[in-house]
Amino acid sequence: MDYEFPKEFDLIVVGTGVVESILSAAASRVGKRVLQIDENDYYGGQWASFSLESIIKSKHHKKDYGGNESETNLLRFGNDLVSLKNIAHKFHMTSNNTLEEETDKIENEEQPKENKWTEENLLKLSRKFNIDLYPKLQYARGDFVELLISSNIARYCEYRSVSRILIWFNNRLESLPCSRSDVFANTKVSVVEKRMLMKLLTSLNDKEKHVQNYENKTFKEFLTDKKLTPNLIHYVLYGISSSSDDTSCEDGIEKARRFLNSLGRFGNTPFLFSLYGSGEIPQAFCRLSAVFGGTFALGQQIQGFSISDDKFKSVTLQSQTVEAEKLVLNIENLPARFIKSDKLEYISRCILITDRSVLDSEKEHLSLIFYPPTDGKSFTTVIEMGFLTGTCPNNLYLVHLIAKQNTSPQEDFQHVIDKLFASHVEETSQEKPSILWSYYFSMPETNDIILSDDLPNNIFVCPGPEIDLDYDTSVDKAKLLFEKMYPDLEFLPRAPDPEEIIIGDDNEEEESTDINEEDHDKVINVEQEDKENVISAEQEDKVNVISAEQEDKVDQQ
Amino acid sequence: MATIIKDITLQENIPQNILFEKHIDFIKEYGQKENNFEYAMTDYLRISGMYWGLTALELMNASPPHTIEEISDYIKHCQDPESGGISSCLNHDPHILHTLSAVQILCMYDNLKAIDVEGVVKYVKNLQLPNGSFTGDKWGEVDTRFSFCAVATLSLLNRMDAIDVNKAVDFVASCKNFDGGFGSRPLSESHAGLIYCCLGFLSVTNRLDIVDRDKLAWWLCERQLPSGGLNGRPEKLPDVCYSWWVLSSLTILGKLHCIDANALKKFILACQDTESGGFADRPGDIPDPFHTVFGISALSLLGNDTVQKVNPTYCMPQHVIDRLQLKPQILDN
Amino acid sequence: MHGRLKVRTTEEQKAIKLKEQQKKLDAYKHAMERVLSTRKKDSYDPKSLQISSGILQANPDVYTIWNYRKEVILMKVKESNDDELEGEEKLIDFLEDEIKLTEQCLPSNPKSYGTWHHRYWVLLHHPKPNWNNEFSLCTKYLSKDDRNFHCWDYRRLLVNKIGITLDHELRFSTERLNNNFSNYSSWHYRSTLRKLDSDCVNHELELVKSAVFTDPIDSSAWFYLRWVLSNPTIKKDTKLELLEAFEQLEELEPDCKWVILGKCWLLEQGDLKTRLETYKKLVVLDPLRKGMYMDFIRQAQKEI
Repeated sequence: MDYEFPKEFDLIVVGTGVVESILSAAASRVGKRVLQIDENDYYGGQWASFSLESIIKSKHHKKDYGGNESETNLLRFGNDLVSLKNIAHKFHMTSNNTLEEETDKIENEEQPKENKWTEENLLKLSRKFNIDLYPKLQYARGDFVELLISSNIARYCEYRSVSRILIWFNNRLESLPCSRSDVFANTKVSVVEKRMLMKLLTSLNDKEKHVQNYENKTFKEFLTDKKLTPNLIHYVLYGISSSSDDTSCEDGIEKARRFLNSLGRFGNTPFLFSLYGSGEIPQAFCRLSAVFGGTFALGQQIQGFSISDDKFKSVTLQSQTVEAEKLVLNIENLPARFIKSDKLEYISRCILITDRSVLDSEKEHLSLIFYPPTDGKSFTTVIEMGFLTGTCPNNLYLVHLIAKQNTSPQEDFQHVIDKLFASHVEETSQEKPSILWSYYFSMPETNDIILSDDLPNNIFVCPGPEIDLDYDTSVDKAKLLFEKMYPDLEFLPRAPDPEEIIIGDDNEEEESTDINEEDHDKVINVEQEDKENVISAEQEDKVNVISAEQEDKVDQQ
Repeated sequence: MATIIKDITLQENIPQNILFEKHIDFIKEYGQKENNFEYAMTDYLRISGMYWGLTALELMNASPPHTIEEISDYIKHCQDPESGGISSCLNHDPHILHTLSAVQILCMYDNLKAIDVEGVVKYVKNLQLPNGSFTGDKWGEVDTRFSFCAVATLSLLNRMDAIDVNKAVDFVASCKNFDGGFGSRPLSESHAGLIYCCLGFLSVTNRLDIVDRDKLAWWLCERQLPSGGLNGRPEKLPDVCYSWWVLSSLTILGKLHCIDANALKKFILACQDTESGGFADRPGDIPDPFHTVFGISALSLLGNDTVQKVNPTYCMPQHVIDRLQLKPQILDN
Repeated sequence: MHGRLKVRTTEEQKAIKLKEQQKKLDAYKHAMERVLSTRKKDSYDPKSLQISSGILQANPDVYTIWNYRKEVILMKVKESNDDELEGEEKLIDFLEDEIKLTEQCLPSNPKSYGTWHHRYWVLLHHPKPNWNNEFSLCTKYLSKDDRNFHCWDYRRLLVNKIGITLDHELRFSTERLNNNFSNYSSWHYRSTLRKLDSDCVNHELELVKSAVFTDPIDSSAWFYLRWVLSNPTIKKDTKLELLEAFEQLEELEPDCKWVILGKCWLLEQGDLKTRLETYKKLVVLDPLRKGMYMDFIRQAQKEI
């Protein structure tokens, strides 16, 4: 792309991850001229969604445009510290044996269906996959959903409720009882336990109540002191509060409240998921930014940036130099010299394509599964999504595993995979799903990275995904940075509907550089055009976040 | 997460007494303005409305706004010569509900001769179905309310011979539920209004023996909410009309002492509209004659001696029932 | 008449409202006049019929107008009997419109006796009634208000007409309870489905136990529990087990009168002293019903 950009902007944003995209939108919203660029030809950076083919092909690290830093006096974007590591992928079935196996199966009157997937078949459906590097769920009453509603960005995304939450307990997957109906219908706990659980959930949900005398104790101790049975402690500690044995009481209660508070707003569980993958989220903010005049360029070659008098001055694109008052960049793009931390913590990640659900049911579920810590292994979160989420083809499931890294992704998840999945295609047990494809990698935890003191004060660094189900930390960070950048301006006030906005056209250049919404679409990742319309199926399950505000008002009357 | 008890909260400054003047004025004025919206739009229950208003006035020892002749004349013109039934209003169709109201009014004024009594008897008789139930009119809707209307009407006319009482009792008995209560048809949910109708029916027909007395009395007294008011069935808001239906039911069962009389009195008095007069279903709402007569009647049952004694079975002044020499069955305390 | 809050309005607002009401009133009076004056035994005026639907949509309690429409329908039925070729089809079209009318009347007044009865009456005269459709309507209105007894009663009429199995209704009932067990109407419905015998009584007990323990303050399930416990086929051991569970529940909820009351039911044949103590506890916890508890105490004392 050879756009000729204006020579000057108020703000340049390098990267299209969630935090920087929120900032881009917030800045555009209050009238700043924003240029947002990404060397990748897709949105999202470490927050992106990929088709099957592109996630396999993608190297996930910075492109190298050659050239010498000292020659150009430019600082190059990017570092090797904050990139994905330990990437490994594998197809779990071979393409040649299949026909033989199928014939065998038919002779033995077994179902050949399970073995119909081949590497070729899967790749043919590549575009129907939207594979998140980091999948996120949204709490129905969380900061992020509130932001979506208040900024009127909800219009850009479609949502589905997480339809069930499962927890690993007693060597099997069980339904997590979190609402009154769940508790009533649960057959695994005694009636007295039901009452104890309800009492606890009600009191945890009560914001007025403060817990005394547990300042230095763990949540587990608190629950034990409440005389909860081991069953219930398991459900509350690992399920409702997603905590570990050593989580502090204060944190545990906070997390439980967060969970319980979001129950019932949209469906039976506290969570929403953005259709077509979490990569939609940064795009939505970019879209909002564009609507308010933001300029975008993907796949943009960037030589580097310059600093003068301890301040950021300009970014040099392919040949052009663009100046701005402020620079926002994703930590992936920050030159190594500005990073003080040398050791990072990692998030272990695993993505699987499977052929059936971990727990069969009449209808297709979007499942959140908690696998409590065990034998030195971390707490593992599993999200299983099917066709109706717009992230994979029909009759397949996409499974994401997330955990704080202990040793390596393979080792960290082996125990979970052994329990939940059949290991080889040949071993098709009727109950466990078979893994057709797996992808492992480690993602660095960048939220608490220490930056060096000589980072210019008009450069603002955005972290990557945090190990949390929702975007709360990211939203907080964005607000914090915005406050630093523009202390007197309002952060994402409610936007009017785009139809009401008239963008002034700059007729100075031949090619309009004020990209309005239509042009903006051309810049979008090609893969988007192939999105299927999964909306026709089960419309009722889709969630209208925009009207949520009104519904809540009615409930209060 | 947990259940919230559905109830209202009583405000401070509740009237301590019955605001007689206001209520009497309220009722008297109610029917005067022909163009009063509420009034005119409810002509489909006009005669029942008259019964509510006139009974309330009588209980409050006040005279009616029209002469007995005028009232009787109106009722006469509402009787359908063909079927014998009485309609709610001129040009409307006859119905058993309004037939009862008409008879109740004329009994109160001792002027039954204003209508064709045999015609009424014939009408009611023809509404009984082979299974003992009664329809509301010729169009076939069955409901235990109509069973009550039938026997109340006929007993006031001293013509119980006209129907098959045993079969009628069988039908009402078939409407008894797991909780001891009664609904409108067999298997219908228990509801205080319908329980009153069925108990009233059984009181008139002297068949209270079929009732699970303790179970039903318990269900009824559980209608009382923390505010002191009574609701019509579980998880519903309190309403002054239920004060009557639950209270009269308990009286018929001989279990009036099972509710807290003082708390209820407080609630009923709070339902008075201190500005316009009349009682509303609950404090702060718009008053009407329906809730007024039931508020007054309930207070009478609770022992208020500034109003006339009311008969729990018929919801008519006791002296009228005495005059007619009726002795509907009431269970002992 | 029920549940309308009295709100102070300004003089201006009052005037506007009065004007609007007058308009409505005049329209109503004229409509009624027109319809009733053209009412005949053997023929009807189509314009009046049309006007009458307007009256009912505004106010479905005007029962005389439903009656008028029934008269017209009967004329139509007679007509269709005389017309061998197209009679049935024409009648069906006419009745479908009638059904639509009732559907229009329901949303603003879902509790009008007249509307529900008229709909059923029309279907009884329909040559090819679609009862399954009616089921969907019922389900729709139950999901809007699961305490609407008109709807439950209607469902019962349909179940009889279509011949739905007991199993189906049991499943429906369980589903409703799983959805929301604080629903007296659901428990009542369940009680009407079958007589409890030794085969199913324990299952019912487990189900209702779940409810009372999950939320003891919710009264609905307690009524059902009392009924289940009164069944003669419940074993003594089962009762003792439940009593023990109630003791534990009482520890968790010492101020909940329902738990104590539940214990009373289980203690009926039990130790007199314990019973008296329990009744006295109830007097303290539930003073509104003191009268009733005093009756229990007196009765128990007579036994001494």
